[in-house]
Amino acid sequence: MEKRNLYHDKRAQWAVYLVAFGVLALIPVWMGDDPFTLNQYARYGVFGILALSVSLVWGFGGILSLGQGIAFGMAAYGMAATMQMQYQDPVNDPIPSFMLTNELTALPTVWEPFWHTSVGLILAMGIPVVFFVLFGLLMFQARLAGAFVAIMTLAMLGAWYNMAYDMQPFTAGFNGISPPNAFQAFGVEVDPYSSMIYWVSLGVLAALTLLTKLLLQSKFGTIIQAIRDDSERARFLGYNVAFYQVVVFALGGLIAALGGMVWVIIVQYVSPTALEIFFSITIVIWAAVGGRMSLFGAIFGAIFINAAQSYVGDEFQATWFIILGTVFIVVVRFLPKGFAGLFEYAISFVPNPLPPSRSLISGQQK
Amino acid sequence: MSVHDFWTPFALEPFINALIIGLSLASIWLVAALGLTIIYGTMGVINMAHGEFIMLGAYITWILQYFLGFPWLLCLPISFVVVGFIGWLVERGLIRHLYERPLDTLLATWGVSLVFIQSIRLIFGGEPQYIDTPEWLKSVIEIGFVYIPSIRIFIFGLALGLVGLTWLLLYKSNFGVQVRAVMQNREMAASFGINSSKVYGLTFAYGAGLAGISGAMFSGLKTIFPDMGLGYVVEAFLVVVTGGGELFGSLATAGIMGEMFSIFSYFTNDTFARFVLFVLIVIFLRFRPQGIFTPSMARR
Amino acid sequence: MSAILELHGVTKAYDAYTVVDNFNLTVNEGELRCLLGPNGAGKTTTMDLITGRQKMTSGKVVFQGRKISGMSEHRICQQGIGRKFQIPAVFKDLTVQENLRVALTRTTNPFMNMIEFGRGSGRERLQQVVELVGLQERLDELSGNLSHGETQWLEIGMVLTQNPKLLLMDEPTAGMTEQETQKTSDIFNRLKGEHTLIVVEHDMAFVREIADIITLMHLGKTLAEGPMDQVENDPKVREVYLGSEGITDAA
Repeated sequence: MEKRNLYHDKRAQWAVYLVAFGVLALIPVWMGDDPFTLNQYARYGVFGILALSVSLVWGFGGILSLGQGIAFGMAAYGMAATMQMQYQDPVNDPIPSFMLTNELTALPTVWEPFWHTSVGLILAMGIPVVFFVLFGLLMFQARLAGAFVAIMTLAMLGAWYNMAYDMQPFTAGFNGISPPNAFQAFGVEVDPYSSMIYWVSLGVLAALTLLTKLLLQSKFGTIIQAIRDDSERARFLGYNVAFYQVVVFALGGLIAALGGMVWVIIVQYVSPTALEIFFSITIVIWAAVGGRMSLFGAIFGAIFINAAQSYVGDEFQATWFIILGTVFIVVVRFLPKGFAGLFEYAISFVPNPLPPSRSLISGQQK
Repeated sequence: MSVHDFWTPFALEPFINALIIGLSLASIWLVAALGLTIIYGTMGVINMAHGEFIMLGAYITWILQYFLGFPWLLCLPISFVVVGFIGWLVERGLIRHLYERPLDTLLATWGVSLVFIQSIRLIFGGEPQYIDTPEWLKSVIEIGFVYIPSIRIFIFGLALGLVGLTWLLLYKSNFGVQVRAVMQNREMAASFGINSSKVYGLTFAYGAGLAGISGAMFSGLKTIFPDMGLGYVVEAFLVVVTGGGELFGSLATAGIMGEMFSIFSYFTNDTFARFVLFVLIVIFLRFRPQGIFTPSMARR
Repeated sequence: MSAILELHGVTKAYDAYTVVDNFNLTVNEGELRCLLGPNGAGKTTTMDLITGRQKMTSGKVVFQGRKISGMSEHRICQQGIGRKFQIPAVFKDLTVQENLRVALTRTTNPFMNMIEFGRGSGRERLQQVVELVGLQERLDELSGNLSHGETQWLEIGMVLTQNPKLLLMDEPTAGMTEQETQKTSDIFNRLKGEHTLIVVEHDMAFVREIADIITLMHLGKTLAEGPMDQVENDPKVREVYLGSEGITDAA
């Protein structure tokens, strides 16, 4: 099979991405501005962001992380703390009410920086990334791969879940933190029930997707795929494999963290459920069904599965999960590249109508 | 809870009690992990549906008792057989096609677990169910200042019994020789006339059966509900992987983990203890990915 | 001619079993050295020890006057030692030209490579290599779809792309047809002089075609060293391979 069919044509890919995001951006204009629908769609955007992170780390980097929820959850807590402190008053009401019910008499030191929105945002984004760098170093320097990484990320996720649950005075435990007011930044309030929240969510998704797409077209992108295929060969070409894996893992953490921040702006709530094992594996399912080796496939896998799930409604949730489970089994068994792979196969029968692009090696028109 | 009473000071009697709880916990984790140990250790398959095999064992016990009035003890072997058969079907229908792709088995079996959980929920509803155990298992045995429910002693004994049985099967029986031959080298075993596909099928069925019997056992201890398996599978996995997929590795790991957990939670609390335990396991795996007993195979 | 690679008393032992035993080797710049010996003689292990894939029990490896034993694999590679594996290793899900681009390591820093989009220099080198190994027509093919011989050439090409001073080739003609072997020996003869090569090979016709000097290994030690004729007529060699027709059979 020649690789260069329309599916692999970079110009076609960019065109599809731009058109898709352009169409999505117009949804509030077409569908009216029912606030609950827009809030719902904004949530799908976050699921897309999470699937994007799985696609980068697993589909291209070859690292099956079942712990994307760690970054998502940490950032969500950071964002919730920031928004909570926007509501608190330094003089009259400096301590969030859940802390008072937990008998705290002063704001804990770890909460102090969140008085400043900008510092809070940096921490919400930075702490998960730093943690992923350290955790990645721990695993990849020891040359752990495959199932070990999956199990270790799972255990680490379980650890943080328990931590969020346990540190009740700091995290409100099981109940979770629900900041009373919408997020405000630079004098603008991001109303979670408006077309603005939709555009924020879509904007972050689109920006992250296009940046990741660009990253994958750089030499870095080719190298991480090479490492995925045969890390030993890459090592004997002079690449520090662990370094690359840590960078990919941390970038995946960064994307998931940004997803977590947007999530809390949308739902104004965070609880240990963000760190649940079930949730993190579900993200992997979205990406796998859509197609982990295609950013577009993974993102739209997440969006379609969630849209279908809410369309089916709560009444038929059990039936829905049976269907999803079955589809997932079939995909893993027969479609390792997900539905994107099916599409790739279908489109290979269509001749590429675009003029040939310059070959990178020979520099001739091919 | 406030920060001040986070740390419980040491006192001898409650501490000894905690150690005994640790042993009981270890036996539960051991039973939960036993089937997984066989499956992971011999076939290298990461079976995420293991918790659901446990759940199915519990539900089979409940069905037999609730609808047919079977005594609890009789339900244990039946759960073993029925869940073993379900496991065999899963192996035939799915797992055997994925032996070359261990990560895919992990994912596919997660799909299997989703289907099992939701099917049970659809059929029997999501509400918790209870099992009636024989009278003599409801008593509490008192030794000095230590009180132990007799069912926990029963589970402890049964756990050791199952380990012994599995050891006999793996190391003393003809079937065990075949399993270990296939484990070492599939092609070679095949050339000696061992039907490796059949051996894999039976091994998986046996592992699933062990999960079934452990589910039946847990049903006497706790309530039964569709996603109860999720509460076992992560701990079971950590026991197995830390134990290197070996029988005695799992035995030792379950013991150490159970005691460590119970000591940590004595001084702090359950959730924090779990945090510490998970982090310690991650760090342990970093340095000994091959498990607790297997000799080092790091850079030759 | 000056020595480019020196192995001093290199030993690799597992518990009771010594694979490479106090092995010494000196290879001069521009030379093509063939490493021969029966299975288990320690040839591949020696290559692993040079490239850092295995850790040696004792001894040291000096490359261009610098001690490289103890360095990590990618550092050793960056010193200018390229390696082709016994079982051909290429990136199967990437195209031939992507494979070669990965092998073109102008920088190995991940952050520098994030802003590298392959428009710049290095193209001439890739062009040369592609012509040398003859894969001009296959550039856009997924390398997983290549024939066995083509895969071998691609891997050789990848190593050559790096322009290493020393090339280690582990059975480059394994599984090749006669014509493919002929093409490979042409490639190697063109490399001689410009590069230093160490080749492990079983195909004696191929060795005769390319080798300057042969080192014959036996039980982890040097049994004989010198030009082909000299090694073949060495009494020690005849003694070890008594009854056989010399090293041709042993290899």
